Amino acid sequence: MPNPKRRHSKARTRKRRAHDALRAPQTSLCPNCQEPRMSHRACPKCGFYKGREVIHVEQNT
Amino acid sequence: MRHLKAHRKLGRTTEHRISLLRNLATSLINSREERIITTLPKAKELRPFVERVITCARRAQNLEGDDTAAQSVHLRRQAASFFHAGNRQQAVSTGTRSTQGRAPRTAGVAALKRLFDELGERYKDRPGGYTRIIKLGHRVGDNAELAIIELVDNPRERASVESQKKRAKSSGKKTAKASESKAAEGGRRGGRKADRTSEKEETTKARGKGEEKVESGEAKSKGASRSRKTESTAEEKETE
Ligand SMILES: [Zn+2]
Repeated sequence: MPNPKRRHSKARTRKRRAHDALRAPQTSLCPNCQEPRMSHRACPKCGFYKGREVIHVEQNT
Repeated sequence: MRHLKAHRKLGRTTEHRISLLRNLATSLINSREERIITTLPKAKELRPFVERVITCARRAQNLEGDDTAAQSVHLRRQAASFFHAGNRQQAVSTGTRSTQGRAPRTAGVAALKRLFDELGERYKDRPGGYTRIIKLGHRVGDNAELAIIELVDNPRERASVESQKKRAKSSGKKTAKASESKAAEGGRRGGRKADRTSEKEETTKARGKGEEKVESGEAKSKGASRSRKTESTAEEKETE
């Protein structure tokens, strides 16, 4: 079985992972309810898309 | 190579995939809301599939010449292959056709009927593009992207457009004060109310739960954004 020849330092691990960060998805504010919303999708808060309600979202606040 | 670029296989064998598409088409055409919620890839595969049948129904409306009857039967038979229309298997297995064991009408037969009776008439002058896909974001559980696929020009849509027109007429004085964009939004609100009464609960349970969690977490920030919003909403309430 292949085995590591040398010790793998924390610095090596961390340097490799320096480029692994994930980005938060781009959002814009919903023109209807001002909540963040991904573009080209119905708003998950109010169910609006292109100025009309395309899906009814349960509101319990 | 442009191999495999024409369609998605959806992880199914050919028969399974065709069966799925027939089921989806049947559901879409039979659904009361004229819309179904499914995953985005399925919706995108379904779109050309149903539109092809709807075109059959549309052609049946615009027939010319002296053999229209034969042509319409032909179109209907062509369209039938887009649904699980018949129930021949049952008739064969029971061996009797006219006794009470006669196969019940399937959903596919109902869809075919509705297609040629209603939708052909509705889309008479529409050169394709009978469906609309609206993306909904990701499903809780498997993170699949969901979408609505709906028939355009459906009754719900027409009702909301009509109420918008009415609203624009009735609140003509008030909207003159407000800016144009606000007037448009007021009209939309009217449409939204009409939608609510007719629209049935469509969010799945899992989705609803996810929303709740998010909402309780963001209640504070929402309150904050609301107070920011009050200026603009106050005027809208007046128009309502
Ligand atoms: Zn919104």
